[in-house]
Amino acid sequence: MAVPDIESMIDDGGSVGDYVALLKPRVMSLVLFTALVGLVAAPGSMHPVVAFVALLCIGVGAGASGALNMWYDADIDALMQRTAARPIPRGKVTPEEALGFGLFLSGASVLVMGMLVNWAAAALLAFTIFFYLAIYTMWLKRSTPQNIVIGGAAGAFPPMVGWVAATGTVSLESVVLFAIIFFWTPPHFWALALYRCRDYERVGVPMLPVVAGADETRKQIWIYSLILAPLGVLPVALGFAGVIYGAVSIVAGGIFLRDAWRVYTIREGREGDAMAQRLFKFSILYLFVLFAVLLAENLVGAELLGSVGLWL
Amino acid sequence: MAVADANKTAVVTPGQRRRSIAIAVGLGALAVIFFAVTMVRLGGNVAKRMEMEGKASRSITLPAGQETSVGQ
Repeated sequence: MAVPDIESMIDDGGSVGDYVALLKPRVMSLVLFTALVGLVAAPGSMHPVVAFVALLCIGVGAGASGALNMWYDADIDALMQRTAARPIPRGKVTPEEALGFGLFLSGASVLVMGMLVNWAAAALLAFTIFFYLAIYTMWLKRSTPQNIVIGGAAGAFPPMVGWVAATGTVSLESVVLFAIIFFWTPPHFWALALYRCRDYERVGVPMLPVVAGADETRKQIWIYSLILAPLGVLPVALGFAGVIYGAVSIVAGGIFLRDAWRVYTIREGREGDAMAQRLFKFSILYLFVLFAVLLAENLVGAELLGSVGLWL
Repeated sequence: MAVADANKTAVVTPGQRRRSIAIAVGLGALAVIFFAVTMVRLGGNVAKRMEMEGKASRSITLPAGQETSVGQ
């Protein structure tokens, strides 16, 4: 006698993996890395347990932003190849569940940050989540080709939140870390958009190459790169980075400028696309190397690395 | 029909069980974090207070006339 499978008749909902996917783990790992650099580069000492809690709150806050972003963008995510496999378009998680999940984690991360670390960092974390959801996702993303520029600020806040978690205050050094990511974001995303903008065009997201054309995008990439390269060296001038960082940032900034110039001048055919792809890939390496060296110098000790640099 | 409904609500699917475990782990981790940070913050302050009390008691045991500021 056949027994009816009652379990299969009940909607099982999303799995734990689907909820983890709502948190955008790859973005979260980048946020955690830059926040860790801000936290470690900040002056003074912080108890490891409190530092861990600060990073946890920043990570959960970033994940909550991702869930809220997927809730709001569910309509266009379903139409784009890159995002069609996300939990909401696949029907694994309902938009309401994603909204509730995102709101709960946002509130929890801010409250725990305030109660266990400090309220200045909690306020900045709350503002970051608000900025990403309301300013970028809800407002700018679908209304202006400058969406990446302003929206990039949301991605630039984490090292500043890490710094404020360690010191309780915003200082010039943390603003420089913010500025490096802020001015890095447009050339990074526009390089990608130059050869992959069809998806955005189809769903009506006004990326710069779609609205203003490839030539204008190449010009903007060059301008932002000209600002970014000297900004990358500024931590040495302000005294919170050492000799190794100085050398790496100068060389990496030079390569960034060379690649951006090639994107600006080589515009046609496969070579044009190849230059854009090359800049996109190098931009990831650029930011990672700069922040990794800054982290290493602060963990190992700038003086020790400086003496190694002299030997080399 | 009523029996079928009752069966339906009684069943806990593997997915629901895993989600419940994940929530329990999350809440447990939160409790551990609050405990750990409280110990970190309180521990330092308790140590300072004990140190201060120790200093005060040592001052009180000094011979009369050598220490006059205690308790003022």
